[in-house]
Order: sequence, then structure tokens, then C-alpha cells
Amino acid sequence: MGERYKIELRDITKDFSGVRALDHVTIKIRPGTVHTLVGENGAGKSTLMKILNGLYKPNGGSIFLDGEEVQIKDPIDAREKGIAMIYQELNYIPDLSIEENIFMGRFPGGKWKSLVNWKEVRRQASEFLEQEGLHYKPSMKIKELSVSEIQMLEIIKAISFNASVVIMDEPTSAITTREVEMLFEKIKDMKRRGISIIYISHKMDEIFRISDDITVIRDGKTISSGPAGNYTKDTLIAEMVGREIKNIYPKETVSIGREVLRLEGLGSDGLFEDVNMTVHAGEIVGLSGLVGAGRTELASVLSGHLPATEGKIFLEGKEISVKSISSAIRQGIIMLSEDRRTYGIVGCLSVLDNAIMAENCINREFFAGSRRQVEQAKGLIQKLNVKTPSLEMQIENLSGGNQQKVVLAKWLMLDTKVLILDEPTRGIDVGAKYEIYKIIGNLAKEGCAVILISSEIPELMGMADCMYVMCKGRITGRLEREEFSQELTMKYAIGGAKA
Amino acid sequence: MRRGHISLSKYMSIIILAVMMLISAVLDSSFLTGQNLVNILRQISIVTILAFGETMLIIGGQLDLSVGTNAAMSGTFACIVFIATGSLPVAVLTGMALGAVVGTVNGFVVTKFDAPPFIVTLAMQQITTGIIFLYTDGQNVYKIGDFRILGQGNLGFIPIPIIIMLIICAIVWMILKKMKFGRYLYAIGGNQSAAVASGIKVKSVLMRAYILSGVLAGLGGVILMSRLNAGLPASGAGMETDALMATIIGGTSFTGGIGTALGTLIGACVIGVLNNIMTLVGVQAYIQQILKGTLIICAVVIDIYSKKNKKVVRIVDDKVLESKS
Repeated sequence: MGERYKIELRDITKDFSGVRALDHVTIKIRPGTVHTLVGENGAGKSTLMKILNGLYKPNGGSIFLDGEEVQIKDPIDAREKGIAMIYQELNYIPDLSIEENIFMGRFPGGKWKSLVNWKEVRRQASEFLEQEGLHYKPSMKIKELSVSEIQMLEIIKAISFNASVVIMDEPTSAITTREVEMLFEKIKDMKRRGISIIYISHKMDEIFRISDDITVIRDGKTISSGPAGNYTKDTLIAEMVGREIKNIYPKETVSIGREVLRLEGLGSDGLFEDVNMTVHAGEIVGLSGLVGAGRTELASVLSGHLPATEGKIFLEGKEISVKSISSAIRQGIIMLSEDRRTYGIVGCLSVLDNAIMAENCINREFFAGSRRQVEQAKGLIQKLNVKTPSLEMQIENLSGGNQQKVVLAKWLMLDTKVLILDEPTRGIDVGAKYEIYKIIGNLAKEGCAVILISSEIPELMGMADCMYVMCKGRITGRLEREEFSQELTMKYAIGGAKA
Repeated sequence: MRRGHISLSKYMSIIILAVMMLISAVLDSSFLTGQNLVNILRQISIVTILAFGETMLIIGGQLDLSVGTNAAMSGTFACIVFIATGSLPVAVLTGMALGAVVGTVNGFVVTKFDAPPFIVTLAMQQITTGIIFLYTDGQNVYKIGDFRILGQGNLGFIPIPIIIMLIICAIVWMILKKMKFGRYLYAIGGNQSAAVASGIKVKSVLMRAYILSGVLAGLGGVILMSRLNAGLPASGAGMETDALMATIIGGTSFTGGIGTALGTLIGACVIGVLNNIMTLVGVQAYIQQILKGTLIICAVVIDIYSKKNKKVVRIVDDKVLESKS
């Protein structure tokens, strides 16, 4: 006691129709610190933040701001009290300018209140951008900016509301390593100004890099809370999942079989060039590199989403051409996209419909949903341990990890020779990640050739047999498992010379 | 964002229909007679056939505003062909083929150039009307003789249009429920990117849906003219509105991905019953339109409201959470 807290959530309880989502959760946040909230998806982090942001009303407990008890009525009220939230999915209007987005909802008026005083908007916006060290024209459209630039703008917008508590929900999930550095610099700057930051993340490395305090939530309860120094990676994970996961990466030794895929001088106009690569049966080949290095583009060419313009693709020793997505699928080359919501699931359809969608395009049956199909889908849903009450459940209602498993099931319905996984664990919690890794390992064991694309180097180091690193559309390095190191990978990823 | 597909829930249309039939039975004793019910079905048959094509397109995230004028054009041409050849099959097939041509053009422009269906089919409304008025010089085609059997004949005691409507309903039900083509439509309407990534040939599927909608419009036009006993170039205008209303009341999501054939049939019945009872109790035609529009708005609002207060089941690992969303 005695310590001064910026904001305090005391014994917060929230019920949803009789189910307790939050059970006496208490968090105390000191001024000018980064307080990280960790927990699996569904642990109650988002619910808690929504209460803090005024979207939900708690059933019990109280909130203290600067030592005074407050009621937060709605998000506008939260904003007025100095609480700002940077959402995982950024909310901005792409076709409007930077200045309009900054002042949306509070345009300075002129003589007539309902008219926008554009001169004033321009002046304030320029002043503001300059003050924050950003060199954009205020009239630039938001859609011309990158994700991280927009994110930075969102943060600035929050600061411009004189926010003293900023909630960041997985801010690094869609930005490059370099941009992460910029974000962390900004966070340090915010701390200096006395702003408290509530940080939500699944990435262990960054949690330990920037946190001052950590609170672990599990099943809607506070498990522990304290200075970041009190935790290690292992204890943190153990407290998050409530059991000890000895090794996050369940890598199995699999005997590497014959060659399945070979690329010779493969290129696609302006995206990547001269890619040489070999993948064997049972092998997990990691593909590393910064965002924009051409990894997803390479995967897109292999899976028929984009055309190749040079080079050759050999499948099981025979040269093939991949003309379209369905031609790739027919030949057994399959890509699991990094963007599950856009390219993976059809939210309004059932688990079953999603699972048989791709197989429908291949089989020669006249009707969809034959008994054989349903049986096969049911088997896979069980095998992959998808938690769903029935096959008829709308997939939208499943958690991210379970949705991802259904997408995997969709592809495993087919005869898969090469499986390309593009960031398969993005936005998925530790427990589900572990399961996905196990599935990947099993697939390799069954003779599948796996290409694993990931921005998390530890994930690649944990799962891959060998690793290719890309930079600016070229392969800049290849590492055997024995040579794996974070430093070497980064060196290649930023374009270091071949060893 | 493709979230929050708004559509009337499964049972909403059945409830509306039941309530309306109950009210109608109380309001007018002649409502619940066999003859009157058959009348209602016959009256809705043409719009329903058009609505089935519309339903498939809307499930696929598309739209066809040209079904009404397409029906008028194809149906009138079918009359002309019948007078020239005297062959009913030739005339019917001509009507359907012309409808298919219109559907093909719609589908081609939409899929080839990624043009918005709303604009393309709105333009097609103008084009089809223009063509038939140009050809007939705005004159009606009379003396169609035996052509009227399709619209006015009976099989046993059931009017032929009702039989055709039910057959089409069965076919569309099978397409949507069982056939791959139908399931692809749901996937495309639900999330086109995911459909593409799953290997579905989206353009060819949508093309087929537009053609089907055109064929059904052509068939609807043939029956329409047959019932009217003449080829009336101006008769189809506005029918697309009724077809759309039937589709929406029947629970098809306007953003795609959700909808059924039976729902559309029920939606059409709702409109049919409404028209019928208003006429029986002598509501003036213009007031009928106001009431029809009001009903749709009420249905949609009630449904959205009831969904807001409904429990949303979320599954978080093995726990089933329910929340008000």
C-alpha cells in the first residue's frame, strides 16, 4: 500500500448469461509504466479491456482513476477520462486524409458550429505531426500509409486526446521487425511523458523487453501479478496455460525421404527472383525474412495464386506448371494463408461446409456432402481435436485456434504432397499453438513436405529442419538445423552476404 | 468486413406467414377457402420463379435488377414466335433462351470486368425494355391462341403455373442444398477470397448463376404473357421488386452467404397473402403498396432487434460461453 496507482481495477466481475467471464480480477497500474496483460485467448483479457473502455459494464468491482472511483459509461466517456484503446484491427477510414482521421468526431468549427474550419484543421494537424516527428502531408490519404504508419498515427491520435492510459491490443501482430523497434521507441517516449500503457501480447520476447509489470489472467481470474523481473519465460507460460509445457516446440525426429519439391531459378516479375530450393518428404523447411521479403509471394506462386515468370518447378522429379489455384490443389500443393479470416474461413457457413469446400472442387462426385465426405471430415475434426459441439456449428463461433484447425482439416481432406504454411500460428494462443505444431510434426511424419513461413524466428528454429532466409525477393542464406541462430538469420534477413 | 450478415432468421418468415394467415382468416371468411388459397399460389407463381433466380444470385453476393424487364422482353418475343410457328415448345424455349442471353451478358460484364452487379443489371433493365419496345413499337401482341394454356390451364384441379413453380422450387432446393454449384454460391457469398483460395472457380460459378437467373426470368415471362392472354412489353416492370421482397422476407442475406429456396417460397407466400387479403377487404391499391413496404421494414427491424437480444454462443476451448452481443 501507499504506492500511487494511475489506474486500479478492483475485484472486477463480469457474467455473461450466467457464465462467469471475469472473476474478481484486480490489476494495479503504476503511472508511466508498461503493464503487460498475458493469458490465453478466451482468458478474459479482451473482456477486461472492454470494461475499461466502457463497452461493457462490470457486474461487480470498481475502477479507480488517480485514486478516485469512477464509472466509465461508454467509449466516449473513457476517452474523456484519458483512456484510449489502440485496437488490433485499426479503425480508420482509408479514403479520408490524415488530418480528417485525426480530427474525426471533433472537427474544430468556425463561425458556424456545423461547418468545418479547414484552415484550423490543417494548422493543428501539421503542428501535431511535426511535434511527433512524422513527416507526412496532412492531406495524404490514410490508405497510402502502411499498417505500422497507421498504427503510429492511431497512437498519436490517442496522445492528442491527452490520453494518460493507452491500451494496446497485440500491436505488433502485423508489422515488421524494424517497425516494432519504432513502436517500442514510441512507447518509451510515452512512458517519459507519464503515460501508462496496458500492453497485450502473445510474444514472449517482446513481453520481457518492454514490460515493467506483468499480470497473468487465466479462466477469468488473476493468477499472479508483479514486476516483470519476477517471471521467466517458462514460469509465465506455465501460469498462462495452467500446466507446464516443457518444450513449446514438439519437434520430432523424422527420417527425411525422397525429394518432393525442387525449385530452379524460380521468379515472378518484381516480386522475387532466382529462387532455388529443395524440399523432401518428411522435411519441414523454414522460410524466414522480414515482411515484404517475398516469402508470401513465393508461396503464392507455388500455390497458383500468382503466376511464375521464370524458372522451373519440379514435383517428385517431374517438371510441372501451376496455372491456377485449382491446378496447384489438384497436384497436391497447398497453402494455408496467413490471413485466416480473409482467405481461410467462410464465417457464416458451418464447420462441415468449410471443411469440405476444397475437396468439392476436386472429387468427381455429383453432389456435395456425400456420406464419405462427411465421415472423412468428421474423422479429421476429431483427429485434429477441434473443439466444436457439432459439425453444423457456424465456424464464426469457434475460437481462432479451432478455426485454424478446421482450415487445416479442409486441406488435409486432399492428398497433400507439399503443404505451405504461411504464419500458421498468428494470433493464436500458446496452448493452441502447441497443438498446431504437433499437427505439423505429424504431417511431416506421414511424409508430407512442409514449408513453414514465419516471422517468429524462435518458431522456425524450434520446428524446421533447415531454413532459407529471404531478403528483397532473393534467397540470401540457407541454414542447417545445427547452424540455426537468431543472429545469423537476422543478418541474412537484412541482406547480409552469403556465408 | 464481411461480418454481421443481416438476414431474417430461419423461423421469422414462417411466423410472419402464420400470423398473417391468422389475421386474414379473421378479417375475411372467404380467405381460408381452397379456391382462394389456390388463387394466391397462382398469383405468386411468376414472381416466385423470378425470385428463385434472384435467391441464388443474392446468396452468391450478386444481384439481378433486370429479371422483371427480361421477363417482359423474353415473354413477348415468345408470343411472337408462337404466332409465327404455332409450336408451344419452340415458343417456350425461345423465351428461356432469350432470358439466358440476357443473363449471360449480365454475368459476362460482371465477372469479366468486375463491374458492380447493381449497375450492370440496372442498365440491362433499360436495354431489355428498349429492345422489346423497339421491336413491337410499343404495341401489345394479341391473338396468342393456345399459348395461354401454360398460364391458364389446369392439371387436374391445380393450375399449371403452380406446378411449374413447385418443380422449379424443388430444383433450386436441390441445387442449393445438395449440388456443388449451390454450395459454391454460399461460399462465394460468404467470403469470396476464401472461396478463391479453396480452388473454387468463382467466375464460372457466378456466370452460371446469372444464366440460371436469366432462364428463370424467361420462363416467368412466358407464363406471365400466357396468363395475360397477350404479349405486353410493359408488363414486367417492377416485378424484380416483388422478387427481391420475397427473397428478403424469405431469409436470404443481402450480403450473401445465407438463404434457402423454401424460405423464398414462404417469402413469396407472405407477399401473396398480403396482396390477397388487402384486395379482399378492399384496401385501395396505392395504400397496399405503402403497407407492403411498411411490412418489410417492420420485419427487418423486429428481426435485427430480436437478434441483438439473443444469446450468442461462443466456444472458448471447451467452455461454452454465452454473451449478449
